[in-house]
Amino acid sequence: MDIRPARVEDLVGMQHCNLNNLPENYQLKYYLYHAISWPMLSYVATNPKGRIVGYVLAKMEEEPKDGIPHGHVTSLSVMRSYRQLGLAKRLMVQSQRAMVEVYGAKYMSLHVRKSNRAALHLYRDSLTFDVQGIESKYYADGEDAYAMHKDLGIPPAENDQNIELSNKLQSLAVH
Amino acid sequence: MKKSTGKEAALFDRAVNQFEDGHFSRSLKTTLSILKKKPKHAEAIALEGLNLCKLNNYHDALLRCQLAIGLNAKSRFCWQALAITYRDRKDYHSSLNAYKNAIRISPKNEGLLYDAAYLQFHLRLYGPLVQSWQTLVNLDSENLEYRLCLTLSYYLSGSYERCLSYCTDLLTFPKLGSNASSRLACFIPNLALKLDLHFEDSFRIFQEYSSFILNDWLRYEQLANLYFRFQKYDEALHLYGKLIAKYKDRNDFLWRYLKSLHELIISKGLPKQVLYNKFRCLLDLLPNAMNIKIIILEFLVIANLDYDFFLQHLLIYSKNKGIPSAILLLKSLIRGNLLLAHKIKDFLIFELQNTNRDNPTACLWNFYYLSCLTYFTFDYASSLHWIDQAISNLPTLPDLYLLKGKILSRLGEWSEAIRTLTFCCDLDRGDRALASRLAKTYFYIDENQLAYQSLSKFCKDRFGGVPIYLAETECIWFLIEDGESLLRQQSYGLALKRFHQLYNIFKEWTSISFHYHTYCAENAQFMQYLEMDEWTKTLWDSPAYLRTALGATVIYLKLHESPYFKYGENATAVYSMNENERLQFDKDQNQSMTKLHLQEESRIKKIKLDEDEDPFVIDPDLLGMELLETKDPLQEAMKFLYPVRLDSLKGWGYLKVLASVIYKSKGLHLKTQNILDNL
Repeated sequence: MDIRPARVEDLVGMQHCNLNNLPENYQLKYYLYHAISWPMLSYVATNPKGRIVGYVLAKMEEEPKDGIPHGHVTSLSVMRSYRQLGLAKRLMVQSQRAMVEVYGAKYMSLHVRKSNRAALHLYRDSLTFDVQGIESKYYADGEDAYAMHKDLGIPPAENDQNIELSNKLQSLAVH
Repeated sequence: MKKSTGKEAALFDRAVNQFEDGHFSRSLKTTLSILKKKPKHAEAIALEGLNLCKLNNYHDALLRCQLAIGLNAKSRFCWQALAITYRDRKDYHSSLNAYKNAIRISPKNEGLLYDAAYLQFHLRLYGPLVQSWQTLVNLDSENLEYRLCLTLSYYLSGSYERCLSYCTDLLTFPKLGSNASSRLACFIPNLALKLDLHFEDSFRIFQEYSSFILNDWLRYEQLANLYFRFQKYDEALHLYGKLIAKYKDRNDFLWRYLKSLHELIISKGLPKQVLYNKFRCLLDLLPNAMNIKIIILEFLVIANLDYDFFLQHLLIYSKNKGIPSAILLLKSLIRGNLLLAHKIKDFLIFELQNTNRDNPTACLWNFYYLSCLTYFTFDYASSLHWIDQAISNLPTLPDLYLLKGKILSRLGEWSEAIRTLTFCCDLDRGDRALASRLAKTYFYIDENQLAYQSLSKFCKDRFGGVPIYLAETECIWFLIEDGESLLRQQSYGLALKRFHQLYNIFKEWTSISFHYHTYCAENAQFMQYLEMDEWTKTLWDSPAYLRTALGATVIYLKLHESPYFKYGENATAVYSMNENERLQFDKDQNQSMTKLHLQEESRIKKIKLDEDEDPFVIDPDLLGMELLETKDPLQEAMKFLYPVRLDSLKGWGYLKVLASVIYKSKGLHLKTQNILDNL
């Protein structure tokens, strides 16, 4: 699977993935608004045939109430047949990285259903988001949402690991 | 807008200000007070039209603007009002013509030239587009947006050298921000590619402008791609190594890294074993990267190299981690390579009989992978056998029943497939993907109501139920499957309803790009602009739209051939009726449809809406009967066919044949011939 920045041609595939998996749906113009306004923040996972099997749709908050530039994850989903590959986490990590490197985001936020244990495990345990609060009846069916938050910045340890790996990959070259 | 004199002039100016402030009702009232005393005041009539347009009364708006032109064809204001009205109605060609007339009267009006230029962008009139932006730049050379748009229009018109020259000038333009400079600098390599420059020139250009690229990694990527394009694999390998360390999931980097490694080994005359060893090192460096295992296997299979070790490594890893999609990810490789399929099968069976015999989890995945493998090689009987083995091992995993449902569908055992998928949905009631699969299966056997029911949990209530909500959320797969199923069942009115809903969705998608021409050009987002442009060009050639066009064309052609066709399965019976019987039949049909309509209206009115919810929209043609009553079915069919590039489309012979019949009937012989030449 490939995980890369979303292109305009991917938007229909992202919408299809969303409509296949989630009850919170958006018209295509909303996807286009994200893709054009904040290129590099949304990512897709594609199978070897190029079909979209997962996506993260993200943006920068336009007028942050606290005045601090921060990102927001609008939607995240992976097709059922392609689960257990860690795609959701990897999509989030890529988007998070772009929020910092391209837009200077200091933190990122998202909403998740209180009953969605799998998603809660991903965000809280795997990606180290904190629960900031509960938004009552956030979803159309009346369910509450956890408002989650994560401070951003690439840990120094990860940078060191990348440098070490980079050196090893380069050393595979034939001299 | 131009200031006037006198009492009416003061009123007119007030009306214009009100319009510009967005107070359209007030502006309309003020305008009407002018027209009471001066009913032939052309510009007031035009302003009335503009206000009506903004208040969504397009029909009257157009009439008023056209009347205004009739009274004073030399008024720039009147032509501009007409242009805006057409533009808001999305009649962009007519809008552009009106702007051209306005520009003839005021050739240096920047506002007019600007608006016309954006229409030219949307209509892909690149020659005139360049002229428009050139004129604007000549009028105001310090305007950054004009210069950016001119640069982009040079690219679109194929003047790549000019585009490059303008890009490099813009990079030194003081008003250009650092983000826009960075985007422009990233765009320049595309120009080098288009101009087919040699390595030295491409590299020189890169060195000159890469300092404007803010993100180091984008710079590395540009340089790596440049080296790779010119087969400088040693340099490319080093850079891709750096990029992969940071972006482990980018398959394009991985593929080029492997290719560079392979090419270097060949060029040095080294044995293949060196390559295999290097690939093994790669697996060790990134032990949990599934995509790397897949890519390496793909690379070796395509290059006809020895892949046994890597195949086994992948399968063992997948089984240990319990990755359901392992075989799915190899689907296209398996279908193109029977030997690979046999090797996978032999390995899995060996594992089943030996290594994994006492390990239930490993056995489960062996069974599942064998079922997937035989499914992809069209051996459905074996696939069913293996999935049943997997289910007996673990009877509560929905994915197993999902696959079994698909297998049974392929075998034509529909009731068993439905039973299996229903059980699957019961195991995970909150999963929309499972419900969608069940719904699709219901559509295959033309049980539409059951399909709607299986998805109802995920839909909001609407007048017309699940299909209307899914049309609103642009659920393309649902509308196509429902439409084709209704067509099979001869419910032509409803089928046409679905096809029209699809058409409107595609039309809306192509028109939303109009709002982004400005934004992309102003922010130097040339790549996003080109992607959007390319996407809108290919939308109408997508399989989803082609199925829509085919369905609609079939119905409209039949309607043209026989007026009884609209009666669907009752057509034969109605044909043999006398006039009185037919009238009575029509009356009974209308009554039953009215009853259905009223029942639905009554149902929907009982539902309490939240404060922030819009009221339900009542569709007067719930069952699509008005669509069947069209006076010119061939014209309606042509509406669906018009956006499709039939003369260059590959495949879809049946659609082309139907289209040629329609165009021939309409006397469009050139179009007919073009399609037949492409058959």
